[in-house]
Amino acid sequence: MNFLLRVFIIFILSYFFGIDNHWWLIVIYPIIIGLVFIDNLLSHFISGFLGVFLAWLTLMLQLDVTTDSIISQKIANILFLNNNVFLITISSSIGGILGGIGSTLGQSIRKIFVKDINQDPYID
Amino acid sequence: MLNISVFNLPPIGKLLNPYSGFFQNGLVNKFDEIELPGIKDEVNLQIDSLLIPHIYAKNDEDLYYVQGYMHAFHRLWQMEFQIMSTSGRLSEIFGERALSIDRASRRKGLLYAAKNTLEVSKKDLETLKYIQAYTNGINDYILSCDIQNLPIEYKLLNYKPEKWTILKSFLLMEQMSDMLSRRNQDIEDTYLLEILGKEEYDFLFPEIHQEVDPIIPRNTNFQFTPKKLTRKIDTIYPKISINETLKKPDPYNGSNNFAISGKRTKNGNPILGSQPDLSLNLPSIWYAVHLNSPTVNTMGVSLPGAPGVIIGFNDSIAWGETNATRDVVDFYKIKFKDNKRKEYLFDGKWLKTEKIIEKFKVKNSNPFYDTIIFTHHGPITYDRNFLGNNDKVNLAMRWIAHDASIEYKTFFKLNRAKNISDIKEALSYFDGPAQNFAYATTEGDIGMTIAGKFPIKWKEQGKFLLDGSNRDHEWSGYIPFEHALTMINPKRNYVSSANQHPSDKSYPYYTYSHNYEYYRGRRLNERLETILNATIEDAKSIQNDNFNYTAYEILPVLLEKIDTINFDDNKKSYFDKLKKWDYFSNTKSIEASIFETWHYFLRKKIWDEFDTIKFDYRRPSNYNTFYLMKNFPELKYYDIVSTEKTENLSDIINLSFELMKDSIDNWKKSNSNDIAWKNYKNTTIRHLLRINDFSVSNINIGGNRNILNAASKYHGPSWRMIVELDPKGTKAWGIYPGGQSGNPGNINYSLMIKDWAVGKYHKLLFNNISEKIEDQMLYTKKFKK
Repeated sequence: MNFLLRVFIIFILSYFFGIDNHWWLIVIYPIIIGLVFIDNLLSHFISGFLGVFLAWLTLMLQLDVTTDSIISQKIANILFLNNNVFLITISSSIGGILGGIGSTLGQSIRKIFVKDINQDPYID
Repeated sequence: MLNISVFNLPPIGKLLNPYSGFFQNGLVNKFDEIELPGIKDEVNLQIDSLLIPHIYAKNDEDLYYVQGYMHAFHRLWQMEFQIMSTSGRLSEIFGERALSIDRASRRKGLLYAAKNTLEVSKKDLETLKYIQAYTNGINDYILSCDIQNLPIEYKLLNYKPEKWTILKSFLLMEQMSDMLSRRNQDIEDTYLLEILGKEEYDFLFPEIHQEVDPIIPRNTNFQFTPKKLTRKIDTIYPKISINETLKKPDPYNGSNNFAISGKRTKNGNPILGSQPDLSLNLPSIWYAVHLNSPTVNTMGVSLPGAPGVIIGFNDSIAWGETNATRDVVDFYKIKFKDNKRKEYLFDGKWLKTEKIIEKFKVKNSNPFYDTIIFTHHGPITYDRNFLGNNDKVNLAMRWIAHDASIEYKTFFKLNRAKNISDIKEALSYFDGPAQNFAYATTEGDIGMTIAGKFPIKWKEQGKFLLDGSNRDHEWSGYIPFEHALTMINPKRNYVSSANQHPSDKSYPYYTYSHNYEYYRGRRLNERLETILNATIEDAKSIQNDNFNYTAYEILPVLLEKIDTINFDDNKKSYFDKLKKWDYFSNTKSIEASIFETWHYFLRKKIWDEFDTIKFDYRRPSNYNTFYLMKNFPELKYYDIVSTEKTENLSDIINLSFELMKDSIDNWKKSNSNDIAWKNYKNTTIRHLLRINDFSVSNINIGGNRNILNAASKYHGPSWRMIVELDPKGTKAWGIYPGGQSGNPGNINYSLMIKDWAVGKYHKLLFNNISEKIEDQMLYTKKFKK
C-alpha cells in the first residue's frame, strides 16, 4: 500500500505541477516522498521511477495526440530515433530514472539524519 | 544562407522536458497567449484561417506595435537569427565553425552601414516613431514569452532571445541589400581581363546582346540633360588576383513583375502581378499582413523584422518589386604608407585611416578580435588578415548599401499612396537595394520605375578593380531621381520587368551588371503582348509559365548536329523525345530532365579551358554560350583540352549527349526509374538551419531558373501576388511556399506549399471595415488599453 501510495503521489505532483525552467528540478517530488515514507531503497527507486515515468508518459502521449505527432516525429528523426513512440519512451525513462534517484536519495538522507525507532533490522 | 551543420548535441534534458521542451512547440496557435500591453487605444485584431493577422488600430503607433508583436509571435527565432547572421554574430550560437562567416559579414560593412542609417534616421522623427513602436511590440512579446513558448530552434541550440532594437530593423534592410545588390565580379573579371586580353574578354563576356528586350523599351527618347561626369575616364586598372573571394549572393535572386493597363484587360481594371524569386527557405522570408488605421489600409507581405508592407496593395494602388541587379559595388586597391596602416595614398596625399577592433564572442572558446581598417572609400575587406594573399593585397569596398538610406520611409509612404504622384514621391526616398517597381492604380494608371541610388560612372568604371589612390576612379556623384528610368502609361499598355537589362544605349548613363537575365524578360513580354483581354487567370498562368526559352532557342540547333547512326534504343528514345518536346518544363516532363543534363555537360565541355587556368572564377553566360555556338561554328573552345584529338562543335555536342545518357542512367540506378522533371530537379525548401526534418523536399513543381516559374532546386517564387485594381474595391490573390507560423510543430508551417506548387492562389481577405470579414476569421479580439 505504501508503495502504490508513493507512486500515486509522485504521479499526481509531477503530472499537475510540472516544473518548466529546469528539467531536473522534477527530482524534488520524489526526494520529498523519499524523506517522508519508510521503505527499502530498491522499493523507493522503483516507486520514484514509476511515478515520474508514468506522469511524463501520460503527459507526452496526451500532447502527442493533440498535436498529431508532427513535432515529436521531427524531433525523433533529428535525434536519430526515427520513431516518436520510442522518443517518448526514452524521454519518460529519463524522467523515471531521475524520479528513482530522487526517492532513493530522499530515503538515504532520512536514514542519515533521522534515527528511526521502527526500523526493521533485516532491511538494509 | 548557412551551410554549417547545426548540432554538436542539443541539450537533451531541456529539450525532452515535457513541461517546457519540444512538446510545447506542438501545441498549435496559442492565441490566448496574445496580450498587447503597450497599446495606446483600442485595437481590433483578427486572424484568418491562413493565420494572416488583420490589424485595425486607431493610430499608427499601435498599428506598427501590433505588427511587431505578431511578427515575433509567429517568427521570433527567424527574425533574430537573420540579424545574428547579418551582424556577424553566429559564432555566439555555433562556436568557431561560424567564425569565418561572421568575419566576412563584418568586413562587408553590414553593421557599419546599419549604424550610418540609424544616425541619419534620427532626423526623420516620424519614421523613427513607427520603427520604435514596432520594436516595442516585438519586445513586449519577448518579455511575455515564457520558456514553454520559445521557438523550437532556441531549445535545440540552447540560447535565448535578446531585446530587439531599432538598429536591428535597419540591419534587416542591410541583409536585403546583401542578398540583392552585392553581386559583383570586379576581382574575378580583373583576372580574366588580364589572361584573356580585352578583345577576347569582351567576346566571351559581352555587356548586352541585340535580342535583349530591356525593361524600358529600346529607343526611348529621354527628355533630360544628363549630369556630367566630373571624373576623367581612366582605364588603367590595378592587376591583382586572389585565391578566394567573398561568397556571393545567389545569382538567381531575381523576380518578375508586371502591370497591365485596363485597356488590355477584360473588365477594364488594371492588373498587377508580382513574383519575387529568392532562396526557398522555411520559415518563409515573407509574412502576410493586413494593416488598417485612419491613415492607411494596406495588405501584402512584410519582412519579419521590418514594419510596413513591402510588396502589396491598398485601396487605391498596388505595387511589386524585382531586383534591379545593377552593379553598385566596387573594390579599390589601397596603398598604405607603411606596415602600421595608419595612412593611405589618395590623390597625392596621405590620408588617415580609422581602425575598428571587432570583437567576436565565440561559444565554448575565447573571443576573437579582428582589426578592420576604414578608408574614405569604405572598409578594407581584403587584407593581410582576411583573404588577402598575405599582405599583397588591400582592397577597400565601396558599396551603395554602406550609405545611410531609410527604405522604410518609402514603404510607409507607398503603403499610403493614392495615385501616381504619391508613388513617385515615395520612390524618391528609396536608396537601395535598387528595385524595379511596377505599380498600378484604381485611377487606371500603370507604371514602372527603377528606383535606388546609382553612382554616375564612366563606361566600364567599376567593372574591374579600381585604383584607390586615383581621384578619377571615384564615383562622379549620383543619378538624380528625376533621371531614373521611369515609364508611365506607355503605348503598349503594359509594363514589366524580370531582372533583364534596364535600357539600351539611348539612356545616357552607364548601367552595367554582369548578371542581367536574358530569357525571362523576353518570355514575359511575349506573353503580355499576346494577351489582349487579360483576366486574373491569365496573370496566374503567366506567373506559373513553364516555357523553357533556353531549350526553345538552342535545342533544334543541337539536335541537328546529333549523329544517330549508332544509337541504341535508349539513346534513340531520348533523342526522339527531345525532337517532339513542346519546351515546357512541366512537372512530368522527361524531356526537361534530359535537356538540362545535356546542357550541363555541354557547358562543361565547351568551357573546359577554364578548368586549366589558375582561378576558375566564372564562365560565359548561357546566353552567350549559345550565341557563340550559333554564330561561330569554328572556335578554339570547342576543342577538349585534355584529349589529343581536335574536337569540333558537333563532336562536343555528341559527346555531351553521351555523358548525359550515362549520368541519367546512374541517376536512375540510385534513385528511381521515373526521371520526371519534378523528381529529377527535386525542388526543396530548406529550413534556415538546414535541418532536413524541418525542410520539405521533392515538391510537385515544374519550372527552373531562366523560366518565369523560376523554381529550381533551392530557389524560386517566394511570393506570388495578383491584384485587380477595381475602383469599387481592390481584389487580390496571393500565396507563398510556407506558412505564417514559423513553428515546425504547427501544421500551418508548410501549409501553403502544396497549393503554391500547382499554381493555386488564396484570395486575400481585404476590406476597409473589420466587420465585413469578421465571420471568416479564426480568431478575433478587441484589445483595450
